[in-house]
Amino acid sequence: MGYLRRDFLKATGMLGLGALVAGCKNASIARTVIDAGVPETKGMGSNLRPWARFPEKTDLMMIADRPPLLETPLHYFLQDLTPNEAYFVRWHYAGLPTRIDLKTFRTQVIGAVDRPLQLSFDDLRTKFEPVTLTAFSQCSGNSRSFFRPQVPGAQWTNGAMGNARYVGARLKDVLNAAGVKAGAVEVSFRGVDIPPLQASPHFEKPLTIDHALDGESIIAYEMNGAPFPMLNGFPVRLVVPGWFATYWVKCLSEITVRTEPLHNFWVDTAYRVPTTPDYNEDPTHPSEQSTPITRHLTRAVFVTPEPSAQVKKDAPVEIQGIAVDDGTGIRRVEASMDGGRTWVDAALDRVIDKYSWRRWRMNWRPTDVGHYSLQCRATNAAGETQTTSQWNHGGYGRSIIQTLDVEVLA
Amino acid sequence: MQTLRVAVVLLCVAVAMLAYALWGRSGRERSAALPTPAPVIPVSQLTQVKPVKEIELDYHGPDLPPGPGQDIFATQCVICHSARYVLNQPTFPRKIWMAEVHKMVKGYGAPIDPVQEKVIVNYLVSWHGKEDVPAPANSMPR
Repeated sequence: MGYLRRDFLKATGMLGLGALVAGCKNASIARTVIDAGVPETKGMGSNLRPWARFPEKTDLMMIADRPPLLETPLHYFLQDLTPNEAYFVRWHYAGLPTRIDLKTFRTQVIGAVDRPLQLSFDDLRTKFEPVTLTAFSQCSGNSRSFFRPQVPGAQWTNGAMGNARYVGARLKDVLNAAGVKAGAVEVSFRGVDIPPLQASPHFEKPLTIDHALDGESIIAYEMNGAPFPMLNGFPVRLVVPGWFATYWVKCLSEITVRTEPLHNFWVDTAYRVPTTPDYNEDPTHPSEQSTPITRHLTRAVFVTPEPSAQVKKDAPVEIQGIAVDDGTGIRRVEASMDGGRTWVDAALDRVIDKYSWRRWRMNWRPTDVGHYSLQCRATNAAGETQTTSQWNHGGYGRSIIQTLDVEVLA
Repeated sequence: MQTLRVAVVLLCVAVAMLAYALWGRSGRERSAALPTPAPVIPVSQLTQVKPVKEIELDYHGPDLPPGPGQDIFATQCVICHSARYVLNQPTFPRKIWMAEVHKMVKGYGAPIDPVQEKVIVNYLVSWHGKEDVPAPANSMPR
């Protein structure tokens, strides 16, 4: 049915409401596992986050249904690897792939190359050296809902992220097999997702040629030991470790080596951040200079206790979290139980992999009842740490010191 | 002789500083390291991959609230995204909804003419927005 729908889309270039209803099964109730308790009527607030179970996924927080935006509940981050069924989902257009036939699926390498390639899933698996790596990824807008003033976009809390183990072919090896011509400056990536209209810009993101050939990025065909779920990019996904997920193109079908930089909506307008440190700008005076978002900023996030948790006085509380950076390496995580006045070093778990998150923990025994503002901050090997104020109009790259409100009861 | 003595003292100080720096760093890392469980290495299931994968996506609602502009929203905006994309936004002031709808036209190529743009903004403000708050009289532009 997926192909039919997309062929129809291509044929008409436009999908009216009638076609929408015809193309979707009208069965929302059965799939909505737990409702947030807000009636689906007009005039509701912004906190409607019902649970939903999509194909090959478990119950996730549904930020939006079509195209799907699904957020991972915090408790999955108590493990080193985020299970495939719980890994967050983000697509740009309703024309996302719903059917892939490996007999016909190909990843093309075209543009400024000596030998254009058409690689099947098996070609990628068998003709290139397999590389394994564990890498953290997050949506550029992860945690956007916490910015004040609020900004438009997917209203994620902290769950548009995950850590997974990938196996794939080095992008470098694939490009070298095609033979990059002299004068190449960029390599750009497209998936099979289709823009709904002729005028809609096809999602495509570039890396510089040096970045693409540095041997770090892979074309992954395996995620946590299994094929990718369709909604996470089956059959192959570009993994750009240390960089935001906007570069991790799903259902990767087209790799173009370019002698001129790519200019499109996704490069020149969307996914851009101020050039200032921490992507910080004044809401009343937005920055004039912007640049595409790229690498992860250093950041620590509480995983447990969860927001608005209630704990008991004089009872031990295990605090756990994750810390991320661009691959330089997390060296220190500190936590504060008094809103940032005093800080204590947390214990770092072992290093999982260069581009993985690093987990951390500490024990806390609150001695007084009342309200506590817990904070955490990470520092990486380059000395990059976190600040107490950050805002930008896209709601991107949130890396402000997190404050977690906890109530201690008698 | 004096020069040699000074050199020896300086060397001792340098060695002591280096040792302290190294010890201090490793000490902090060591004190921070807790026993953690051995990593779970997933077993590859790639051999089980089937040649065709197909999923079916359900409709999750909600239906659009009635009101002037509902018909235009239902035919033009829903081409690319469902109504839930609006529902999950904060109840923005009019100027932000205007910018958002215009972005859909300019950036994403939504087939919405300027008249329809106004109708859609009115519709969004009517059920999921608010009118712009005039700037306080005493606020000074920075």
